[in-house]
Amino acid sequence: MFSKLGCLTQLKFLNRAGQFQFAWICVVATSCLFVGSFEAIADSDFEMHEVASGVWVHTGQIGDFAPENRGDLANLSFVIGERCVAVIDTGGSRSVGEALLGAIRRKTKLPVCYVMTSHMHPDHLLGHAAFLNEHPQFVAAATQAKALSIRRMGYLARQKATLGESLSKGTEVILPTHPVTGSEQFDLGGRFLTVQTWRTAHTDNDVTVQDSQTQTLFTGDLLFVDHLPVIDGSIKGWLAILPELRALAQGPVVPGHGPDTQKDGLKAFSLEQDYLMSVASEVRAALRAHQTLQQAVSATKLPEGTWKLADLYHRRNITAAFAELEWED
Amino acid sequence: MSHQFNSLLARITLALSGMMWIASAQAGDPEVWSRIRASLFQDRPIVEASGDFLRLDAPNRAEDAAVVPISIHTGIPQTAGKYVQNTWLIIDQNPSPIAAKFAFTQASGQADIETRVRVNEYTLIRAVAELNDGSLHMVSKFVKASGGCSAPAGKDPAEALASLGKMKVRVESDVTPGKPTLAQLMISHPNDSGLAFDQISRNFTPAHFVREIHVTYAGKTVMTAEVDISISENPNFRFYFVPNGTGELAVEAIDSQDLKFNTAVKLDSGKNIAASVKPASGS
Repeated sequence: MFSKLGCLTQLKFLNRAGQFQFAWICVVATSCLFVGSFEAIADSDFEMHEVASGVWVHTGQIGDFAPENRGDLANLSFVIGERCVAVIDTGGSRSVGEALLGAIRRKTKLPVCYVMTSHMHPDHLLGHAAFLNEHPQFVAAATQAKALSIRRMGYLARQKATLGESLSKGTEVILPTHPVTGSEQFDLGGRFLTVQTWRTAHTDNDVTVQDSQTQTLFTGDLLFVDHLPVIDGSIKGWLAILPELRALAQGPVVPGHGPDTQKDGLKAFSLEQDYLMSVASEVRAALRAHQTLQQAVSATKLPEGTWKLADLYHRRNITAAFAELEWED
Repeated sequence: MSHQFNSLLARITLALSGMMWIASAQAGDPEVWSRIRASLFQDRPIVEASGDFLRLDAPNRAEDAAVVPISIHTGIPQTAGKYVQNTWLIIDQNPSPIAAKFAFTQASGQADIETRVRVNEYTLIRAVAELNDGSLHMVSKFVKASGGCSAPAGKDPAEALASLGKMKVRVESDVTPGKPTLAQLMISHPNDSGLAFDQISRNFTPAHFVREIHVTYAGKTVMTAEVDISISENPNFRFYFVPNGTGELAVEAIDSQDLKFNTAVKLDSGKNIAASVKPASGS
């Protein structure tokens, strides 16, 4: 970025002939950069592991959108049936989506019939465009279309600002073609996936997906592991559904972020619940003491324990919880 | 080749102008301010205020660009001889930079105000106070935040619609007659900015926001606010008034569709609030 800027600044002060030369230096420098960055994240390195028979998971990095991770920040999964494949979340850029499709093609030739979106956030769905040629149904909560359509421009602009022009190229926001209300089963041949919608919790359009054959539960961002939970819906709603969500965990649990768990799933739910409860009680205490939002945010301490990205999200969670809980009587 | 070269040049230039735009935004844009200044204050002198007299608190970096807490403190009591009569809250880089104009009276006791705003990009935020002698005093603060204006209102739109116009007024629990007392007003309202584009309807969500607030105590005006789309969803204000004897703190809010919302709190002389909050009524 800096080299481009330097080059351009000189361009402005040169005559036509000079411009031409410098422009070509730019071309060479820029294309080297691009080639380099694409090599560093070759798709054969896109790691998938099988958490249960026919259930494959890619663990996203825990971090914020940056060129080094090209938006590969959420857990992405696919489930192979006898008839076809379902994908759950596709990553934060078309390039990540393409890597996921490549990984699927190394395992099976079956068509991708469903691309399911756990919720509206860009790190989970900006890879959808990579699947358009598979002509799948895009499955999501019925509330997602509205939520996503008003955030679309913001998501695309922020992706471009953080990943840069080349990595955000080809990314589209694909609205759901198959909205789900309540819950619905999807037949992959020999196994069903149940998509269940929830009341407003992490967002107002969260779904979980569960596999009938292995009981694998894909929680989307209703469960965060290691990555600090982020409130973009309702802390009260989220705390209210956690017991029900936990009861569904009868097999492997694939969270939206952080490692999946085989036996330890329940501990992950407890850690998340502890954190959300501590945020709620801290905010309620601040409200009882007639503190302002600003006072509550500056007084808060980052949570103890092993949460990652607490510096990025904890104060924002306090802000969101404050704006919600101040309406309690 | 020439075509390739030109398109490359165009792309690079675009990238550069993007970067320059970011750089200029970070440094504050004097052009924007001079336009706002000319429209609001013409060529009247504006004094850079000292922190003792006027202070603007805002986070350096906003946690949520759609809910950025702002507080304006004044160091002088509202007396007959000297008082703040108007305070403007200005967010230079917002699509509609004049976020609010607050009018105070001697009955305000203290012309402090707190609210929450949307911040669309890195910007200077300013408070300009006008005293009763007509003098203008300014403080400013640079705030890093982006996307607040086009962020859609409502983490839960269905819930927001159900509670439109609901209001809560809270008064400090220990009320001393004759002393400036803090009150908080909360209005449940999406305060839609009109800047969130809906891909399905191919339309912008229409602007629908609270535009005016009148607060009276015992029939006398305490605070009036003309507010705009820069105010966050569920507008929230803290301000002072001076209770004396028995009186009612009454609030009327009017939105851009001319819906009116009213609520009131009855105060007993020197005692705790008689907690007789009328439910807000729309009309």
